Amino acid sequence: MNRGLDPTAIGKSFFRDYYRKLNPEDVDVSSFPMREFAFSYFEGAGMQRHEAFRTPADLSEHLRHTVPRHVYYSSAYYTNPSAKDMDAKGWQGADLVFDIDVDHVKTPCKELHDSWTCKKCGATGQGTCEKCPKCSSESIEKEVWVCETCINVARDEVLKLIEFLENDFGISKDEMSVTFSGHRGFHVHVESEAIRSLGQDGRREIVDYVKGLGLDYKQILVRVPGGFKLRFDSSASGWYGRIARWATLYSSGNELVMDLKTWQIAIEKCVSSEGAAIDEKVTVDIHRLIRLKNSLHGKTGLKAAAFSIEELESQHLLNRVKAFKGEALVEVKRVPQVVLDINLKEGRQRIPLYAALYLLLNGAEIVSFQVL
Amino acid sequence: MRSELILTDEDLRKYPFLPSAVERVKELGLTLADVASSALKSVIERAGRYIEASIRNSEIPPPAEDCDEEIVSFMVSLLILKLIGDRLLVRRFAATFARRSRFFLGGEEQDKVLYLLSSLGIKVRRAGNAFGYPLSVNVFDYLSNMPERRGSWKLVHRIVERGWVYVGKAEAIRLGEERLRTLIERRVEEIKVDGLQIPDPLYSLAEKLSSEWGTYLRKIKENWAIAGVDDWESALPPCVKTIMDSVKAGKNVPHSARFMLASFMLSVGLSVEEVLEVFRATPDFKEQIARYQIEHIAGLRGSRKKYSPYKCDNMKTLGLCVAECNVKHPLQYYWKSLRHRTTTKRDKV
Repeated sequence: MNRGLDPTAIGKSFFRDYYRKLNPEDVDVSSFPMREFAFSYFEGAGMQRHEAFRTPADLSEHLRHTVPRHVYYSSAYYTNPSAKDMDAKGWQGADLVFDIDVDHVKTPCKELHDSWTCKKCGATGQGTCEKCPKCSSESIEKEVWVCETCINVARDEVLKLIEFLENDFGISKDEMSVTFSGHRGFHVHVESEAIRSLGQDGRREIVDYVKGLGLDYKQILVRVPGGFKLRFDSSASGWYGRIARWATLYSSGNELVMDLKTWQIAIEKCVSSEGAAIDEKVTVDIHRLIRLKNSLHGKTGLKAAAFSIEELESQHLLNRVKAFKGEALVEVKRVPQVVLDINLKEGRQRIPLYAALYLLLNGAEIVSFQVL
Repeated sequence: MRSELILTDEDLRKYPFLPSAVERVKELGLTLADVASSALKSVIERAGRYIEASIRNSEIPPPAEDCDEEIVSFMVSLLILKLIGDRLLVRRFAATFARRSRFFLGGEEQDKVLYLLSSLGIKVRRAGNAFGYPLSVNVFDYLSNMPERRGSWKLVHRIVERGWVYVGKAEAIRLGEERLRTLIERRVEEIKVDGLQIPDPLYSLAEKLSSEWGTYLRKIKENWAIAGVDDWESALPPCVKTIMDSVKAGKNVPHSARFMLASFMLSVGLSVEEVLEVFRATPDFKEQIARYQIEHIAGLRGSRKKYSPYKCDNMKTLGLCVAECNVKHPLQYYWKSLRHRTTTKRDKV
């Protein structure tokens, strides 16, 4: 790193510019005074929790003043959101939130931009890795980057989830909102009176449902002459219909009567293709803090932009989350081949400012950095 | 008000928790002093019998012949439960009372079932025998009231269509039973006794029942305290054993697994120090942090809330379940295997 280069100071100065221009309505959320807010800052680790604001204008004033690195708000509604003690907060309900992150999904692009180092034996490699192939240690340090392919994979998972929410759970699109997580995925929020008071167990059951977890063939199949068939015909909604559609790929006749083994293969295939890859911990947690829409992610400099469902289906989702215009001249050591929608090469290069900031904030080894 | 017409005195007698039952008693204008008077002695006696039945875990006796007597007895029961102030007993009572109501609901016509479930706040409608199901229930009401999260109740095994789950009549009633349980618990919680003039006969009954409940609890605890648990590790359920083995082997296990192991060990009576020793083998062990977290789980820090280990359903969702043990909670497995061991030991003597 060249002398005088301070990633924190550079990052913060751009975040300051961004928050200066942000309007209060950009950070408005429903039942605003009932939400807890939390921040982490460029200076020092840790999170400042239990903040509450009367109006979005108060919050945007706070953002301009303090320029946080990360901004979160509670999916929960509280009578006293600034109370330090969880019991004293007075939980009144919570939105249903889903987190889709390609960290948990296999994507073809990880080889191009991710790398890992075994903390035990020092082995390194491209892509992702859970267990060192050399010494079998599970103590792995990962360097992860996000690219356009990652975002598109995440988007496809969001669309699967929305299909479940709409067709199975009867939630209308007006009750859902989708925001970019700021890194490798999306958050889907459902705000509805019917869901607010749902407890952890109910939410966990929704998780199992959209992931297809716990599907037991003994429950959904019945024995018939010549094998097994589904308890209900393919017109039944829910997993029955989905499984029936997949089963036609494996069945020769029209009747969908197959042996148990073939059914198990068909069910497995159906679940892995149709289940939505959500992070269960987020959905089940009724006190969760979630990134605030239109705030910046402190490790990417990308905006947690809100998407309508039609917008999600469009091309070039990344254009909506870029917060900074302009270009920079940068040189990076151990450069990933691709980040966001930019292909990188060795040596000094002229790249868009949003990509340069991403490299800087996500801890790339910067040799030089010059805003043009 | 047409729907009100179908509720008779006989209905209110069977379902004294219904909103219209409460209305009716309000119209009577009874005070607590009236209830305690000798004229209404039977009400207090009946309330006492209801709570006694739930302490002994037996069935709640059949309702009073007189509809008003039944409604007032039910309300007095809730008040006494509030005075005793033990959540476990409230849960016990709610469960036994809801069970009695399920029995009555089972004998009702479908339309009345629909009406009664709606009064309890469950959205339910006729399904016209689609796929052989007479009724469908709003999916979120289903999720809030499903009695268990496995087998045929598990949502993945149901026909779920645009916010509705198809159910049989008996299943709908079972959902109603669960809902009633929660409602009774909530009603007791919401009673405000501060400033209420509680007549003496009510107080003395509450005291008597409270001591009876205390005796019962002590007996249970004695049964559970098992002497000489030295090789407690061999009684661990497979899921906890797997995590324990991974941790001991120095593997990097996810946060949820660490939480499970720590909360489990603390729940079966190990000390913070003993738990800390087990975690010493983790690759990223930092004593100060680990101690802080374990103390937090033990309820010695922060919110002072002692955390319970995950139940089996949660373990499954988190991908930490490794075997089908036919229990609902890993702790159940542990206590069962210890109990089994002590009885076999005793047999040998």
